[in-house]
Amino acid sequence: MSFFLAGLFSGVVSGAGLGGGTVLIPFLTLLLDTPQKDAQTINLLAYLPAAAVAVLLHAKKRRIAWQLIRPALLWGILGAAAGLALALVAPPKLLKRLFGAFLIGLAIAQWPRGNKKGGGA
Amino acid sequence: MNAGSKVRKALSSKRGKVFFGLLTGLVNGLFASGGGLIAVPALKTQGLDQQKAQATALGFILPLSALSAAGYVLGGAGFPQGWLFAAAGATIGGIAGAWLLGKLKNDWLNRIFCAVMVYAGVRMLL
Repeated sequence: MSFFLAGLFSGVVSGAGLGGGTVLIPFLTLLLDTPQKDAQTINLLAYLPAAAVAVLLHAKKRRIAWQLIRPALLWGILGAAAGLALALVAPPKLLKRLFGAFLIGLAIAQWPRGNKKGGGA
Repeated sequence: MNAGSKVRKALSSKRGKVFFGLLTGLVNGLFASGGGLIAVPALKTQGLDQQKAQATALGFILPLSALSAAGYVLGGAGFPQGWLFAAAGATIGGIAGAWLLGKLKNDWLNRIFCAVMVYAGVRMLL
């Protein structure tokens, strides 16, 4: 039940475009005592079905600018493989700390400033 | 948006696409999240509106997430069965959130949200 609620809450945030995994992962580690790597795995798995449906819907409505991302896809895959390898070999405590620093950095970058409407993505 | 403006010139060049791809991928693989928060502002610098930038970022991140998920599972990270419940919640919540998008978006809500992120980040750092 708590997993469902965690997913529900992060889903709302993600649908509103404010992040998603950045909510679900701390929720799982800080409130439900899930180990960092497990929480990251759960996050990826939890979003795949919803993301796949969303991509299909967006593609149908021609909202995806494929020409912008196609040339970067191979590099994205290389980057993901490198990040994945780092995450798997990193000591859990270090990974959790890195994630914490990453969260703080994102929060600062997303902080709404003055005239700009909306703010985060 | 800082991250965005740095990428602005770059994303239209070839080197920029390499950088954009590597960075988004690295974050996706290492932190299993947050790729969208980097990709969306970067894509907005290319003239996409919020909705198209979000859709495009999702199209880019979905294959990376599938790859990362497979890697985590094969790499031996544990995942309690609860992930199915989390997935159900995320799907329902995602629909609700997309519907609420725009209605609940304002600077103060974002600031509260960012403050919670900082709090969580600090607790994870310690």
